[in-house]
Amino acid sequence: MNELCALPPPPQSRAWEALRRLALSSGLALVLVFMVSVLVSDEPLKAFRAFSLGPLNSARALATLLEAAAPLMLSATGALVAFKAGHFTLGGEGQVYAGAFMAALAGAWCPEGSFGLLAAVMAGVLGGTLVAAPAAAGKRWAGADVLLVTFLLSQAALHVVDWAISGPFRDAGNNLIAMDPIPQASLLPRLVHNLPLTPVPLVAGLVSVGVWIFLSRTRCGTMLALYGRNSRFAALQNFPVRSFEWAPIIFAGAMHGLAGAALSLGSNGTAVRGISGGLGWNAIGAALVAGGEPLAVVPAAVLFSWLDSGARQAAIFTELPPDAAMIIKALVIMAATAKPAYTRLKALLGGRKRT
Amino acid sequence: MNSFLPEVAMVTIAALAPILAAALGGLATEYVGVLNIALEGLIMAGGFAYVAVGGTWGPAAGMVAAITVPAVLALAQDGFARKARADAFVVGLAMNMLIPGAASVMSELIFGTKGVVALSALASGTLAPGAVHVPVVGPVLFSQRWSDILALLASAVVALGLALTPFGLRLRAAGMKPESVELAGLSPGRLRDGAYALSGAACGVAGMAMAAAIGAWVPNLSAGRGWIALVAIYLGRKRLKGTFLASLSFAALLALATLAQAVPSLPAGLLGAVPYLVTAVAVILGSAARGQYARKIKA
Repeated sequence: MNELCALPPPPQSRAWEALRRLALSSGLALVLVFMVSVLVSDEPLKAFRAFSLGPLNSARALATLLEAAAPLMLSATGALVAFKAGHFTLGGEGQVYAGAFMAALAGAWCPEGSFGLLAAVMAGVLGGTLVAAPAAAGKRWAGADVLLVTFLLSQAALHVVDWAISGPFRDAGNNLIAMDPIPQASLLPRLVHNLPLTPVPLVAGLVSVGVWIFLSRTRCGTMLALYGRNSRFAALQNFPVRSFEWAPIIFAGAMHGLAGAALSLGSNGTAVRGISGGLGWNAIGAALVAGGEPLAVVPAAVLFSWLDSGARQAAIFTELPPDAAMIIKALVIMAATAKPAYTRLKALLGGRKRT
Repeated sequence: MNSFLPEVAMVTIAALAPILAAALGGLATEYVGVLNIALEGLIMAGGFAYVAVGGTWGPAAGMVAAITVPAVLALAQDGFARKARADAFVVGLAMNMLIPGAASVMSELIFGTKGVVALSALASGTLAPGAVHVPVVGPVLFSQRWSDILALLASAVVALGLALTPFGLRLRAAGMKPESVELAGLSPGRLRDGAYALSGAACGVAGMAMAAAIGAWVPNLSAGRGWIALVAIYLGRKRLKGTFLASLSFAALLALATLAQAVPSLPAGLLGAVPYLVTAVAVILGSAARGQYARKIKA
């Protein structure tokens, strides 16, 4: 019996572990929101209330929050798969921008209706994939550094799409620097009348569940994760390492492109200059906070979206700068990777002693 | 044509100054075995500190702040990563998110705007305006801004420090075999702190050069220079000479793209993408060549 007691506790499921990490991150975010409100605002309580409850205080606000979180879920899921395979891709921003551009282009040019919508979504996926493809090919055939090449291609894509949106594809009749509007019939349908809720959050949730099943319940997914941890071991075991060298990078590109398409086909109604707005970078943050667990990407994206939305709400009602959300997100990412604090808090919440 | 080459050289040197300073700072951390990925944010911190402090107490005070603030931030970043046993790469990424956000909030608090803050008193003058007409050397050297020259001098100091001083040797030893450093009675942790502080200070000088070049703080001041510096470190195979050559090549590409924007028939917006595309192709081809060479050696 004593020997049994001395055994370490059985390992908990990674999903549960990740969700607990997220709960801690959310708690920390709330504390940080309060601290920032006290430090920066003249009306700290009003700012805190607007920041923390503003994005949740009505059905419309909640729908807006979910809708804003959905592209982040898609991007973060793509980034997570690439990270699992050991490819640190930094090209999300350019891939999202390219996806948004291509979707707006196809949406405006194709026949209105379901076909137009489908074509726009496919074009968005293609846009992100095209930006990721040279990095994937470079890794596969030349062993080129994924981090470097994805970043460089993303920067190039940002310049090219910027030029395209503000130059040859600009809608001259629009005061904004934006492309031609996508016809209403080709935009994403609303699930509930009068609420800005499209099927994208549902699709993003299903994608993360699909990725979770793939990574944790299939042989190929397990091999991919093992390849990410030790590519030499994977090669010795005759895993399909050649495919693992490029496929996760392409998948990440496709997911970023899909996220870009969701931005153009949602409330924006077209591609506006700078529409990606840091989504690619936020996706990396959300994937890191999710701790490599696909199911945790959904709440991580909602957490980030809540911080962004809350900061905007607080800025409307008080003088709290909206960029306070960036500071909080950065601190949450740092804290989520800090081991001692996390372990101590985990032990406290789990009621177990540290060994 | 007579004025084209000196013009290219002049713009290349101006573009090289911040990239080289940041790249050599990053190389110092690479020497101790943990590449500081937060160069982009630290450049921004340097630029903002220069404008925020220099706006009240003058350019000299701004310069001191531009060096010390990022150095302290880099030190704190490393301290956090080590004490909290957090992934240094992730902490660096978070710093790149934290610093622009903090700069924006502070800009709003100090200057009442999160947009452009122009302070002409902080704009850098040229080195020797009277000597600009000296053939060849005049336009290339004497028309450079003093802030860029300062950044190049700082780069030279960092390079010499890494290559020739015991400190540089210890950094490399700490990166290769920390136990050997401990046996010599030195602390690898302290050396890592020193490398991070150096990278912060070097990025601060880069940020100061960028802010002084336009006499203003603008959001996203660093404009990807920190990432380019990281690319230069990788392309230069994490060596001093290689990093210098990679920085110079990228600066030349940026200079050509900038000068080409003056040609009305060329799409100015598209030209901005060229340096990144060329470098991406160079990285892929370079990797392919290295792979072929390695296979040949093996055979």
